[in-house]
Amino acid sequence: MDKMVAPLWGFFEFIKNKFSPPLAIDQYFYLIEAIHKIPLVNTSKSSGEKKHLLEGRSSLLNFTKIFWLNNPQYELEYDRYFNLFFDKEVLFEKVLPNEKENTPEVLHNQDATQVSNSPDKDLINEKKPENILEDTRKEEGMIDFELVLRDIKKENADDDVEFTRPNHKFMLADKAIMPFEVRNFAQRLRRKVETTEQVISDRLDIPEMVIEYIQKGFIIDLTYEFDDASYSNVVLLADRNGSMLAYEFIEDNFKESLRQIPHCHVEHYVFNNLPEYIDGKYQFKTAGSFKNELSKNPQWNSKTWFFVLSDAGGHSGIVNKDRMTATVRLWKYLKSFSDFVHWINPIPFEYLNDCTAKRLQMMIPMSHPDDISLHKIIHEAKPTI
Amino acid sequence: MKTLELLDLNGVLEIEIPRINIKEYDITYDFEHRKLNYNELEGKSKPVSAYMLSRELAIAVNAAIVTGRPLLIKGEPGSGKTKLAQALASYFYKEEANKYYFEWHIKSKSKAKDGGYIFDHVGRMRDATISSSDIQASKRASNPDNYITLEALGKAFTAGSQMGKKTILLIDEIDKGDIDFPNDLLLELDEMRFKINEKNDTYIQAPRELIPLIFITSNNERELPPAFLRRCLYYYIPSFNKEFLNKIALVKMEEFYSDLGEHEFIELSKDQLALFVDKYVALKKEETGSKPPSVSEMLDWLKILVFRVMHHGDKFEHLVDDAQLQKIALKLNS
Repeated sequence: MDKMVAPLWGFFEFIKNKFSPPLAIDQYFYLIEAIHKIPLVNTSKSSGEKKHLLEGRSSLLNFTKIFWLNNPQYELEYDRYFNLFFDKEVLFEKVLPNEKENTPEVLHNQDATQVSNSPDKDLINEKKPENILEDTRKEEGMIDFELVLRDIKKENADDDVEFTRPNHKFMLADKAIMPFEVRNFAQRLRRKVETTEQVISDRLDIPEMVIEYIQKGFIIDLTYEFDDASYSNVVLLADRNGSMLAYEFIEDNFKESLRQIPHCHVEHYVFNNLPEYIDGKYQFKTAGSFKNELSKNPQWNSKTWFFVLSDAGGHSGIVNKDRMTATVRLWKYLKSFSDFVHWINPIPFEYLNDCTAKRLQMMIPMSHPDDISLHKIIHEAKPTI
Repeated sequence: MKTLELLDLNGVLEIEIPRINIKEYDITYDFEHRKLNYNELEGKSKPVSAYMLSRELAIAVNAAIVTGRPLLIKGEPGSGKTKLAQALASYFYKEEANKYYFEWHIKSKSKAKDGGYIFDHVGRMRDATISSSDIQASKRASNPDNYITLEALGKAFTAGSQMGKKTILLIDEIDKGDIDFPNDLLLELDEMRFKINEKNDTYIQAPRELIPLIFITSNNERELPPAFLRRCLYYYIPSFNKEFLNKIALVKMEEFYSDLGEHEFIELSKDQLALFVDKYVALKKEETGSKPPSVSEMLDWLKILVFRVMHHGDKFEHLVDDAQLQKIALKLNS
């Protein structure tokens, strides 16, 4: 008996977790249904020539996009993955010059998770071409990294608890290389962080009163509509200065994302390396807190979400056991309140050598602040059924 | 029962849907008999613009027809997202398109329920209040059917089963709605039915074999929820190449003459149209600080040029370079 073939299943497997939201199995079946029901061979009325609907690579690419490309912003990446999957030799030479050991045959046979690592790595490399750095340097108002560090030392010489930022803008603080979109992050997070309860509004519930009138012939009391009152509490703990200086724009974007969530009470704390821990208590330095419309001010509890933004010693290049212990203590402390604790490490994990952060990763799950990773942690924290 | 034919792709690179006039109807729902009443508005008709459908888009439409999934269309403003649904209705149902075509324009305050039906609570209250002196009003008030008005979604579901043909529904600019709006539509899109809350166990449902062909447009102003996206097929109207723009311009020319009330017209040569399209593409690429002009604005510009050529005797080649005209028609800053 011939082996049954599921058309394009390999590519679907390969692509399904690449974008956000991930593809569902239904979406594969939509494509199969269409292939079965749409006449695939067309005959030209004038010349009588027969042509296959999916003839040629671009026709097949465009056809799969109808079912699987759910956001135009991923179109270029989708095209790349398509070519990566279907090209046997040429594209590998061009796209992954350092990963020749991943031959197309190996790629076809690997499971989707293994396969996804290599192109992702390449994408990260692609986002940081050297010319971006060069161009950014030339921009007015940008200064060199060395200089910034010196200025900070000088400014903070007498006051090392104030983690205020220097007036200079870091040379890489450019939204062009921002790995996640504020709008996307805010919208995804919004539904997950909120706690909803019903409260009486100030609007009369006319339909309900009409029904009461029709049934009873009179109205005993005014009926008001109910509103869903949502509130949420999010804590942003941001490591500042030192090696985190380069990522100040990520902190800004996190803050901006949280600001966009309605009814959200946000507490924003800053520290250098780790929050101070004195006499068994953490001393959190407030960078500011803000309440969005109608937000409450709850205590930290099991519904509080924590985001810790820190490289966890990733830039130091050394293993600091004291820091590891202190970091794990902080992690456990936050986890004692809630399960929604997320460590965001802005350093691409591929760049981490054996250092504090690399070892901490074995104990503390860390995520990179890009669109897909952020969506993953939000979704995994509170899965949508 | 008749499902929609697929768009005929045999040997064509694009499909031209010509402009036609379609009849207008006053459509009301008779709850007692569970059917829509079509009252043709005599002497009233409205034109549906000509439309050029690329082969890729036609394939996406065919996929939506065979799978019964809504087609989510995104693209720049003015790229023809909204016009597509009506053009297809006119393609499939000719002058009777309005019997089968329904539109639902989403606003910031739109609720999913409003797309299905509206219940006139205040009217019922009024009838109930005066019922002691008016027996008719009393009778009316006792029956909730009298206060239900079906809206686009309800009409699309009902018309399909009543007429034995697939209907076409446009849900326009879904991203304008509240953040929860798309999620509130999941049941309707999945099972093609909705409940009338004021009447126990009453559902309006489209027959399984006559699921409406649904087009949903979005300007991509905000992200749509994953659960919603999983139920859709997608198409992004791309920037058209010169060749396709030329064809669009050509198809629209006849329509312009008709709009201008002219019976005799000066036809533009292929070279003139090519010059015009070249100019538009160049202006689109220019960084003027304003939004790049859309295809719809390109057609406005062409219409102005045609008018000037016919009524002022201006030379087309000179007019194309008129910066003032470009600025007005294409809404350029400088």
